[in-house]
Amino acid sequence: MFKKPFFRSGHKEKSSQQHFEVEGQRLSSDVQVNIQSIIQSFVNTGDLGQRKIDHVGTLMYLDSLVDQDKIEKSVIKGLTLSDHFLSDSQTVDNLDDVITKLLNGFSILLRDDFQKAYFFNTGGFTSRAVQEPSSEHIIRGSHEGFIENLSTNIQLVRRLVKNEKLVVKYMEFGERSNSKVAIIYIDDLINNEILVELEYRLSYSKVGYIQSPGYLLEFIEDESFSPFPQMLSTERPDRVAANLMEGRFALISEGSPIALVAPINFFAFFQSPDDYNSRFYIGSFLTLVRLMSLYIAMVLPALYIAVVSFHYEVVPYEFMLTLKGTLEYVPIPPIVEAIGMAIILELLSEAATRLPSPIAQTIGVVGGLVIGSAIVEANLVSNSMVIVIALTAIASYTIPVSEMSTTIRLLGFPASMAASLFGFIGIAFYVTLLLIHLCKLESFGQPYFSPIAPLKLEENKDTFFRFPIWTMKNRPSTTEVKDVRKMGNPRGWKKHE
Amino acid sequence: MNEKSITLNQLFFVIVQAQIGISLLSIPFKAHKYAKGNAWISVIIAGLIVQIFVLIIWMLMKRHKGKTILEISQTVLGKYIGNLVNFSYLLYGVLVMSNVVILYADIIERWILETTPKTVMIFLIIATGIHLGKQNLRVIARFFTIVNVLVFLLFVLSFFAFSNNLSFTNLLPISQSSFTDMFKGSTQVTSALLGFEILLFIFPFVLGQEKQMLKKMTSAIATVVIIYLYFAVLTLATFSQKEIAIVPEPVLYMLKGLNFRVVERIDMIFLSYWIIPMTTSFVVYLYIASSAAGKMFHKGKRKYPVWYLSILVFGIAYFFSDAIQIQTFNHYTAVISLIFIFGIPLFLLLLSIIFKNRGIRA
Repeated sequence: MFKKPFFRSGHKEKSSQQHFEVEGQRLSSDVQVNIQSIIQSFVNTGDLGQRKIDHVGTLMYLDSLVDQDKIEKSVIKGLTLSDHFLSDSQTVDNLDDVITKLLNGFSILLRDDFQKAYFFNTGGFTSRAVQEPSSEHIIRGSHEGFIENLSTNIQLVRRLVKNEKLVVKYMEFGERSNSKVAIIYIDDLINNEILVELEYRLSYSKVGYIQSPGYLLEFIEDESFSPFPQMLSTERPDRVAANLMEGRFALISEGSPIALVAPINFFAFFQSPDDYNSRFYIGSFLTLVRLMSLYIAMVLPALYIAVVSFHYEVVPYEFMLTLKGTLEYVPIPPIVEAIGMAIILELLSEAATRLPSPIAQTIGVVGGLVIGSAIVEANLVSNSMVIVIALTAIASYTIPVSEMSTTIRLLGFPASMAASLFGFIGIAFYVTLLLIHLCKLESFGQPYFSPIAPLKLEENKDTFFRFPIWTMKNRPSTTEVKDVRKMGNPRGWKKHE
Repeated sequence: MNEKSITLNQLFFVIVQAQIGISLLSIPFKAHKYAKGNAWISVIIAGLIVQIFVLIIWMLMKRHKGKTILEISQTVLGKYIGNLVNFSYLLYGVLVMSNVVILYADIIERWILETTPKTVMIFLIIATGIHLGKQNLRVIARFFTIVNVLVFLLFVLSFFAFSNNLSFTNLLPISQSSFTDMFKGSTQVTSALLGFEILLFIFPFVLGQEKQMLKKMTSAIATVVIIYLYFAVLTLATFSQKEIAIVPEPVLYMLKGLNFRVVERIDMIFLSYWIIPMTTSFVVYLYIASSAAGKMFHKGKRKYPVWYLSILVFGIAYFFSDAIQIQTFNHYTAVISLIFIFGIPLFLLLLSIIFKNRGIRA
């Protein structure tokens, strides 16, 4: 699958050796020296607190990261009451580790004539409560969403997957920000080659500051210039858990509620957890509607343009008269109409996203009603074009993952242009190019357009229709999982009736 | 070689898609010239002939496991003559590519975009072809597989044609043309079945036993022949003898006659999407020509030949514009192709049997 996994893994070790690992400065036996070097390391920052405790030593911490209550109630109380409170296992002996501990909200106790420092977990962070992610609303199913706290996020996943093989691997990125990133996977499912490839790619991600997982995504995705997202970003723990169960991995970083899931395929962007919580007819119907909306959002304006500017004969005579009637007084060519309206639509949605919700409603009214009707009355845009663009917008918003829905709308622009140049032929060429691209695209070495290309008929139970869950007995073969079987025979009781 | 392997099912779809293309639209027209109402028998005969060709190719490939025709020619004929054969395949690829592009641009001009310059169409076709042709075999096979949806679509559309006044008596009597005429007709159909020669180039990259492959190859040829037969019978029943003699694309005319209330001229929408199977025919020959060129000049890499061969094709296609030139070109291509799908493989097979695979030099 990957060209040279062995070479790659060897290469990986080599590059990690190059990674600078300066032997940390050891702590001295003199408390004052240690305190001074810590203060210097933090360049006299204002929030570096220290507290002298009689007969014990000096306690240091970063004010902004610790919970004062914890220090008072457990650490200081414990230290003054009992001599056995300190344990040698909770010590560090060099300056770098001390700094790391302090940065993570620990308190450090320095003692005279002792070349080590004790540490206590006194971290106190405020974080948002777990609530439903606003970008991925569902009707039936879990309403939990990830938050900005990494350990809470991992907890949310672990609560859904109570399995000892669920592995969390922490890595740090950003040499100036030390952002913590967790790779989560299920060890007895995931294909090792995918993990090797992931770590190999991540080993190149050396930057000063990782602002969000989006940074990492752009570093490690297969094709940077592809319009399609090659990792699924989601805020839903149930979605992450379901994907882990299919042999994928998730990347969650501290300070961001987004989990990145890979290797992913195209059709995963059109599925919603809702589908599995309702009857399979409903699930199938909705999946079909979404895939139809994919087509509408991408080529409906293009089809319209092709019909009105090239192929009048395709539509029946009466219908053509209606179309002609709406177009008669519009002076501008259809392609300009289409692109203009599409841009207005993007402006409206962008404005509504940024504004607080009461004002956003105003935007809806101004945009939808005022612009919509006024623009037609002023004969700037035809009635039918307004309908087409509105349909396009609605269709694109039905796609459950917002990233994909924007991509699809974006891909509509070239389609419209191709249609205005060559009519149906232009659209067909454009669709061909996109399909070729999709066939070529891979996500972590796994085909992106599976199970359509390469075609695996038996795995298409969840692509266009959602078959009853008990028919999907195997995991998808594209992730090359170690354990293919997903379930036994849940409807076996039927035989014994 | 730096090609990726494909599965048996992908082999099936590659062969089907390599054959189905522009010629499906005009299937009984050419055969009808000779065989009249028996054009459908010509289709069956052509299928049998092609099956023999495929058998020869299979026997050749089986004798030389893991080798493409480009390597077999060198083993059997020696380096220089072998290279000559390989170069002739390159020229053959370019020739058929040009033929496909010319026919393709012509049909688009006649049916959909009457005023758009042909050069623009040729450019679009070749650009799409390059985009697919430069990918590795696995990606090409994946794409060929999904294209079959369109064949399925054509089937669905063709069911509506049963609402026309079909007169299956057009197919009778069988005595309306002699056997020689039927055979002449079948040579015309054979050119519509071209494309299976890609086997000579992809055989070693297929994962599977030789026998399984023969089964897949046979079933692919059979599938295509059945599809052709179906459309031949349907169009022969739709159009009378006199009508079919003047419609060069009977399948399209048949669709044109359908009325769906909401959509008229379904043929135009269909033909627009049918450019995708037409592109696959182009890509098949681009693959053949570029692997030959890659083998000879670029250490097996197809990356560069894909570009310069396509530019060459663009040049050739540019000069053929009027209908008579196109017909002549098409005719000669069909004749020449026999050498490459039948002559050379048979010759190599006989030589390798005589010399027991060791080649002339040994």
